Amino acid sequence: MLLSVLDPLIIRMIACGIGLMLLIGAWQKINDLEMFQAAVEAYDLIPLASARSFSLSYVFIELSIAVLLICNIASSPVVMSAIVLMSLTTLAISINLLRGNADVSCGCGGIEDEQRLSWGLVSRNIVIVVLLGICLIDTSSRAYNLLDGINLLFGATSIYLVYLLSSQLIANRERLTRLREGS
Amino acid sequence: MSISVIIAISVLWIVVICLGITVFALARQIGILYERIAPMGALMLDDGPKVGDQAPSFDLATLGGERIKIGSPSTHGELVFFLSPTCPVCKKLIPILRSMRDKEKQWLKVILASDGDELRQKKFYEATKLQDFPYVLSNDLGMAFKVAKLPYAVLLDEAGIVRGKGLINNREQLESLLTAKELAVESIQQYLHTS
Repeated sequence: MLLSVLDPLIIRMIACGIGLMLLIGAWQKINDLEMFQAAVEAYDLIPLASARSFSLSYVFIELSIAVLLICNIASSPVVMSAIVLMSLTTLAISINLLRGNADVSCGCGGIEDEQRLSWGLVSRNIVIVVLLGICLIDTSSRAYNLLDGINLLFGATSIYLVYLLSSQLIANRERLTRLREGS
Repeated sequence: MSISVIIAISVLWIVVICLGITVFALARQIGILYERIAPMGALMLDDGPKVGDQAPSFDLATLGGERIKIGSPSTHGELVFFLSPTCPVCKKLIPILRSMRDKEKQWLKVILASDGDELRQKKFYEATKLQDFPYVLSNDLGMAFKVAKLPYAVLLDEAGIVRGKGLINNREQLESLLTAKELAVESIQQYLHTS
């Protein structure tokens, strides 16, 4: 039932929204690569010597996926790459949370405030992976008109805003907890 | 498609986006409120030697090969800054520490402290160019001051008495330690509560 009502525009909207999220995240990481590298080192999952090259590669892959998602080029392989990237990131966060190493910056980038590792971040990323999964559904294509263009532009921006808000609330929750512990 | 429908939908979308931006801005302001206003100054945790207590005394070797005394009476005060190579905020605070050290060099010595794998610490020490600071590795030092979260700083006066301590996340919190010493209060939080 859901598949039959899924318009290709909704899939484009989700892909563009997530593309925008990755694009802004990658941009922020490029702006403060040192901070991102420090976060990668803090995850303590790769050798320290390769942290710099890993950070650069990660940002390059993230940026490439973002641009390709927004431009709708090779959509299925790009969406699959985005799913793999998000899943690996979520796995890295989960491993650190399970071993009690939560007091590190997530290195997510973006214009929202810095977040520490938490299960809230894991849940947020799972939602993103599910949304990317929806983008893999094969729907019939149709011609877009002006109204579709308007809906795509604002719809993708709204999806990004929801992501931004959820990230900010996750950051706030951690700060509130710290405040309660300190008071 | 009617032009009026396009205009109506565009206006609705613009309203949705404006509302989204407004809610995000509000959430961000709440975040700033949690971060800065409530625990004004360095957030003091209740463990470890209290403000006004004599600090435990240590004689430690620095990564530069010299020996340094912490907590013993001397001609200058000491700011012991606890950090870790895995703490991004600590790295951000190093230039601030450097400027504070230069500004207060008449009476204050800034000491960096950490613990853990020596090889990793040395790489961090060299990569971050910390050779201009005394940098000590001591598990006991952190244990003595009950450092649970980083970055953390302890301010000792010339007699080795603890004059301020707390979790540090920004310049204001770092400077609040010096302000607390100048005002002769336990912490800026306590000063705000009592004044």
